[in-house]
Amino acid sequence: MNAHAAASSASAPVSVCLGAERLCKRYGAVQANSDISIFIAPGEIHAVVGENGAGKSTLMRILQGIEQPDSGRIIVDDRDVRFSGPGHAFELGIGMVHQEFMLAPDLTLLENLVLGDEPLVRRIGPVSRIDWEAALASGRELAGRTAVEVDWSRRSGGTPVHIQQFVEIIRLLRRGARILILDEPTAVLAPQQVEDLFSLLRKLREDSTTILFVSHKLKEVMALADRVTVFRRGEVCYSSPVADTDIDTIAGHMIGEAGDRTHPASSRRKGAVGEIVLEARRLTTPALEKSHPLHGVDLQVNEGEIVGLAGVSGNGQSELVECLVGLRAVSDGAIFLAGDDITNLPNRDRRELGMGYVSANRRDEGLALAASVEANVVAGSQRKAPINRHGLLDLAAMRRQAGQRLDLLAVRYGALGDAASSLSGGNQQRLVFAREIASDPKLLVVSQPTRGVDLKGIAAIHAILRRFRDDGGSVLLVSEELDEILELADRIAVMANGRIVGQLQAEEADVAKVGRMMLTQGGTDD
Amino acid sequence: MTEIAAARRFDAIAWFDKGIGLAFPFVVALAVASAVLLAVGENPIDVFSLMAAESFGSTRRIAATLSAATPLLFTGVATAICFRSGVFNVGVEGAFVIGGLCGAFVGFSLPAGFGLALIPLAFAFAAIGSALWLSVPGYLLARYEVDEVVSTLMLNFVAFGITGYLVNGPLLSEISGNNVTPLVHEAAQLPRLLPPSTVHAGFLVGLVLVVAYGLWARRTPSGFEGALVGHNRRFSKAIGISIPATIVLVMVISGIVAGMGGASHALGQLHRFADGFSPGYGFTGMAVALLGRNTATGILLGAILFGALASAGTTVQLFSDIPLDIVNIIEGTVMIFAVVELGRLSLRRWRGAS
Amino acid sequence: MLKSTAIAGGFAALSLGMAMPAMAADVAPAALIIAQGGLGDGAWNDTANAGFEAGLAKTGVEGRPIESKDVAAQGEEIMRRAADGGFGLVISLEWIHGEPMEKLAVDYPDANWVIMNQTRKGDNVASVVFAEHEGSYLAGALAAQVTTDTSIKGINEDAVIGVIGGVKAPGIDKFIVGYIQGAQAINPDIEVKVAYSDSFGDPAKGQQMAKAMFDEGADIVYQVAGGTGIGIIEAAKAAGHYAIGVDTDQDGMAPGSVLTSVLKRVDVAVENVIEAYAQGEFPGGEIMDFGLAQNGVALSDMNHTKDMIPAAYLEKVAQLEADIIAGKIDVWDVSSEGYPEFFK
Repeated sequence: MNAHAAASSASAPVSVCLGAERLCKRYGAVQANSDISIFIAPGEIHAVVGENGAGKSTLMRILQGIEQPDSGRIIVDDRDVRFSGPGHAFELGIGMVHQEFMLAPDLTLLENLVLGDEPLVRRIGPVSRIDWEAALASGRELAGRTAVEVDWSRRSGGTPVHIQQFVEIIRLLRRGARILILDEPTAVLAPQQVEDLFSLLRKLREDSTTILFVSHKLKEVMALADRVTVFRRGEVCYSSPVADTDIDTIAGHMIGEAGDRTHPASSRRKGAVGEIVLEARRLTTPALEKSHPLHGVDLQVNEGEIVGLAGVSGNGQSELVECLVGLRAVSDGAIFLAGDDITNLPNRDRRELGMGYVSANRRDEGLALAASVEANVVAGSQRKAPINRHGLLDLAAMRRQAGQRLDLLAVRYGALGDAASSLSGGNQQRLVFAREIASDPKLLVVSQPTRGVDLKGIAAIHAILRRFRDDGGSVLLVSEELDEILELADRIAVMANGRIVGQLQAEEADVAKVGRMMLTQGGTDD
Repeated sequence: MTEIAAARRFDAIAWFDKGIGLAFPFVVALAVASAVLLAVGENPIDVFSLMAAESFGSTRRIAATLSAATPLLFTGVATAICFRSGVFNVGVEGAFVIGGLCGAFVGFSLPAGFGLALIPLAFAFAAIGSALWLSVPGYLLARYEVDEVVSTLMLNFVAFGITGYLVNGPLLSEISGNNVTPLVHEAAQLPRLLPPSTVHAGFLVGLVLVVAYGLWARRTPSGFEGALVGHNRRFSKAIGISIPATIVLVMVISGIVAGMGGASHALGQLHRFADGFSPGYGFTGMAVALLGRNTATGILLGAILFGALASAGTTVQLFSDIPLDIVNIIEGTVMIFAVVELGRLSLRRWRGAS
Repeated sequence: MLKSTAIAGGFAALSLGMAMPAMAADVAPAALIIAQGGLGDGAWNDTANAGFEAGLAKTGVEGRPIESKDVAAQGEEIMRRAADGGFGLVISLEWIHGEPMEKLAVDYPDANWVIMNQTRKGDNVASVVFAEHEGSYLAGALAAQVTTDTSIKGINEDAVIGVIGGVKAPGIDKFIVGYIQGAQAINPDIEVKVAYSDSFGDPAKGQQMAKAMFDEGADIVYQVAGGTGIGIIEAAKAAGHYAIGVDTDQDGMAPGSVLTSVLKRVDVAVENVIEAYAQGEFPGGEIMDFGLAQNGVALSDMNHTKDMIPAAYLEKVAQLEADIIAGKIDVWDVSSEGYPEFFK
């Protein structure tokens, strides 16, 4: 591919819409990108896959103009460019859809759509009036092209995530983006919504929008992309048209030779189900700002089983979890842990009674990222022996405990004193498990345990959960990854609209059945 | 993994960086002061060596520096306890004067016959008074999420008002034309450590508290919990730490320490309470805590640094034409860059995390 | 850097070519410790420093003013350092330095020590006190004459005047009682409104309180409240009535609206002390009482108001001053005599 030759004749059709050649980027001692070359043709959907820390995010930051490469070239429309900043990249038509949406929660969708580029009735200096009709018309026009229903007058904070994502995408298009970079766009979506997103992206491809699609999920890549590029350890290790490859090949390149994946069928619980460990009866919470109320949730988790709680995000799962672990007050109903009524106990007492909690929000709730690995893994045990001796912390015992806990789950870390943020996503999550399992709880409430974790990490975390269950522990597993629930759970409860709308034994469940329950029993609206 | 190896190699750099970080504000301050001195036609090297001699040049000068550092040990610790738990208590100043008044009150109002028992009584009364004082904004923050910066700042003015009223009215010394209480009894006065220098036993009390603070922070469950709460409240709550209890606890300890500082100043230094009791020890204590990164050693060094600036800054005027303003410039610059440095570090941490 | 004092003093004498006592070159330098508030307060500290500099210039003694942010707690260390550093005269303007000075004077018998507004023991300690009550007496007498003279702009017929003190304390009531006594000497039935602002640094409060007094019929208000008094002067200007300034000449703060100011001539006192010291006649162990007779207290020159005050009133004030100096009138001193019958 010769970019210079193409650039010399401006009228010729471009062969590379967005690309990078021999790109290198180093952060301190870490070589995040090493000799990366990737070329995306116009109107192509190009998937980039790779484990966490493989260098995908660094490349995305460089292609958006946020970071400058140490060496190598960036190519836009066959020309070499040097981004002066994110604004420059955007001027050239490169738009990024982040995992966390960049919408102002208190503005309406329409206001968000035009924010920063408002159509004006006429320009009279700073007092120009915004032409809301024109704004609405442009929003409707873009939505109409893609057959998505949008209530433009809603506040974006109260809007389902797939609609937010949609608005985010068409906002970029409206402002002239012709190359979209999507960072794990399906992570927050239900199966049906994923399909909607894909048809939107395909439609955009027909309108000659170029798409760079970052994902962990190979099935989606196979379903959507034209071409796939695999990153490993900062390098491109594989690239192929999707039509010429298959999942196993791609996965092999992602994981390298060390990858091993346990097959779901082999992992089911063997013994009989024991006593009831967790019971929620008619759990109800009031509607509060930014939360979904619960409408009488009934749920049981027995000894030695993993109960998977499936549902489209925002249907009350996170609220239920918070009620169970004691971070949210219930207005009605009761919670029992191994027969003890814990409805009104603070979360500290619940932990004493044998409840562990792996938060969905690893960065803010699961860990104190700025604190040391040691502090994170012993946190919660500071008042118990052997760390606490006669009211003082035994620092040697604390170090020992921390080391043992981390080793038990093979957490890879530099030194105990390093900040938890220095660990990779998967190791951070293992650290959380190491802490929660250390107190030998009866029940683990686990929410989105593998979000943002690479394949190897996912396998390890799944193994941890299975081992815990096989040792007689109980798990309530809340996940938006239906595959994960199907793979791990012995029993599946489906939540929609603040209620449990159905339960299935694992043997009788499949994606279609559970997905239908999730979506047909009420949407995300109240 | 390469990242882990990298993290280990960074360790040495991080330590080096930390050392620079501590000295950095001071170096900048000296540079700024040098520029000012050159501009007014003074030789900075002469001035700084005179200041060094006036702060540490002889036993007496060292004693004077330690004397000036004494209140800062207390206010530095009282501030650091809260800051490390993420509670931005700026009310140490108010708690210090409340403690000073309480301590002085016990020292002159109880019969002199109590003898040496007056000292522990005065410290206890001051500690209780200031602990109650700061427990109010602590409770308001813990229970109603009333912003502690606003509430403690406002309470400072209330403290100045109350003490100002009492020292101008009910507790006014009968023999004085100024706003001071009577002197505390002889027995209640803290002994001097290196007579005739004014450094008194309160300095030792301050040292003990700095050490106790270091132990508390590193070696007790509640100190551990405080640090976690400072790092991340949501996380701390999720692992079973009571945020309200931690907030109230650190505010109460902060009050106890600040109150004891006030008592030490009243019994050891002024031997009474007076208008102008604290020229802002609480606020300088914030700079000490920031500069010392909330560590016990850092607080000790920070207090001595500011103590040296205060004592030398005054007496150099006897032997040169350097105005107090130069010292104020150095102090102010150290404070600003202590805060800037803090911001720079947390920015880098934030970048590193994302 | 301070060189050998004798040489420096000698050079100063030569270079300035000033006539001065011969022994001045032999005396150790002097230090003036500035009180809370610091230099630039436009009042106590600045006035004293002016007298200090005048005294140094006149005698050829070398000396320096010393400031500290923490003057209350550091006073003892500063004074000790001065004595250690070879200073022969240490003057403190800070009230709270009285006790430590008493002890230091014992440790350093060769140095000379001066404290203000209180009396301290020691053969080498001079205590400077001011007869503020005498100056206030004259102000009260002037105000009592003016307050019923409706020919003067802004004056009503009521025999009502006011005074606002910073706090209720003997040191302040000394002024107030003198003022009342002086007013009653002119008109025994006069009503003197008394109030306390409970602050020395709150101009807004001073303004409010003065306005309230003006609304109640007073047309002249004496301020004995430091920085709070600035608001009292503001209020007088706004209401078209009169304020009386205190300590320093505040007539110029609102020309025409400040009837007069009761001056505390700390500059005179400091200058006197330095002169005595330079001549080897330091009044150790004495109480130096600066009253009307010593020109230690006085009314201001009234540059902005003397033309509108009938000459007879000023003559009456001058007569009273002469009587006080002559001992014919005894003005009540709260600080030494306690409270009189007519004032609680």
